[in-house]
Amino acid sequence: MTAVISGYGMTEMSHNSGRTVLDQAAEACQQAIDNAGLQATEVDGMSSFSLYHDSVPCSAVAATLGLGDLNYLMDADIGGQAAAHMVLTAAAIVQAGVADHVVVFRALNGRSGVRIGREPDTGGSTAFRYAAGLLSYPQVIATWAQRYMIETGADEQDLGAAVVAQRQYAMRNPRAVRRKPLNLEDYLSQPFITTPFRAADCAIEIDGAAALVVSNRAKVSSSTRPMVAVRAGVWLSHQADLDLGGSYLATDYSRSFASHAAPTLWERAGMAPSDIDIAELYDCFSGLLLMNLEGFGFCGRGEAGAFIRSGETGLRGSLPTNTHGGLLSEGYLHGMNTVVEAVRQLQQRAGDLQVDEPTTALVCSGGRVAGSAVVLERLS
Amino acid sequence: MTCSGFYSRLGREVIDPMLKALPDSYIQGFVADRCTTCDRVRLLPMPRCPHCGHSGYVPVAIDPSARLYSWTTTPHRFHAAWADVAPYTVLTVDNTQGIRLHVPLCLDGTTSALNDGDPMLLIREDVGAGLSLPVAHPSTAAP
Repeated sequence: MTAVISGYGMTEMSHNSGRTVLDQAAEACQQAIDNAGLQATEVDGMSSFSLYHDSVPCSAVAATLGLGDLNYLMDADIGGQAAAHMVLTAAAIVQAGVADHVVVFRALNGRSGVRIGREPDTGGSTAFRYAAGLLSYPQVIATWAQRYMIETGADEQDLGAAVVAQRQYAMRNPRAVRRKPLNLEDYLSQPFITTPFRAADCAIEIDGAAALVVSNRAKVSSSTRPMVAVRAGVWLSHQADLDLGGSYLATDYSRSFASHAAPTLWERAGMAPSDIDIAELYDCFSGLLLMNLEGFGFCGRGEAGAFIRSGETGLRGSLPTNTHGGLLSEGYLHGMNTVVEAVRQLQQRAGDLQVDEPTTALVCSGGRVAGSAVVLERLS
Repeated sequence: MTCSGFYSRLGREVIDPMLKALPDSYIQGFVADRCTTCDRVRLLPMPRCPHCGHSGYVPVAIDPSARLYSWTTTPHRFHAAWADVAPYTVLTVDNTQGIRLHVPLCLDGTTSALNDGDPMLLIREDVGAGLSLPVAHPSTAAP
């Protein structure tokens, strides 16, 4: 049995939706169900993720949409590592015959509601890092980026290359929240918010929702657009901490989870990095994008900046990357929009941002100690 | 060595919740836990050793000698209550017992010449009521 992504949906992304999270979740999920050519009553599974309870539970969305009996439901409070993980898990559920159509969504008022870094003290290691003055995720990840730069010799030009390359995509993406032209000189002229990061190095928090339907291929109408199969995937927690923001037990800040997860992913997929046509990689911060590019083997250690500068991640490069502008520019839907972008590309519905007939995509979610990735493949 | 501190410039509305959330052993005596099976020292309050899984432990003083692993200097005011200390620098250091800590750099310390592996001394800054929080100060002595 093959699990396919049969539909997707997204709301507008904005600084102030003026709507409830539930309303946005319902809109994105309904869009995805319609896009898959399904009736709401055919959906029999739902999963979602949140961070510090910033979303709404699946049961609320299912009730709102009038779904029928559900055979699978999962709410995971694990943040940005989850998007690809939720897709992978939904595929496993479908392949196990537990459910036929699982809607996976992420919804939040991440800008007008509770912003990351202003979460309540959740105990664990949070108390230690708050007391030291690490009050926000940009600061935590900055210590990782700094170590990456120490170890590899990368510099602010490399961070800037990632930011500028993704802005190039975002400028052509009407959904993107950051579309203003940005060149390296503009980037370097910005003040630091926490070294080595400037504001442009940090994902833009937004309100919005995105959803996908993961289906049993045999239960999807043949009239549906090109099917996108979930070929393989991985989730990895490497030296996790007592809470999601902690890094006290991690020994190497210069590598993201991708470095540790890549061998398993490629083995499961029966593929190599050179087999991937497009990469949609988690980039809540520019430094993590560099680590993820290198970690999955798309370029050598410390070479991500040069790889990007050479144009390889551009629309006409060998590995178009974050073709929606990434979380840095499209918006911080916690990586669910990144999975949607991969599906959009593989189904050739990306409009001005369409890559020339891609058939394979790597999508990853998360950075630092825990993350997930899936290889998606367009079926003929 | 002198260190005029860091926390003295933060208000009680910041300090008090911080102290409430931290283990008493940390703020009263700068103490961590040493596993009685594998002898590894852990900072975080965990019922079992994250290295060997055993539950036995004894308190042990945290060695103040450390080396710099990473850092970030923060001019941005992420929280209004921390505005009086901005810009400030938070160091990630490894002490001689293998404990990784995040500590603010003492405001006497330089922010322009930090280098990987720099020796650092962790100094306990008095925050009142007999309690303390660590700050880091560049050290000339190798740990």
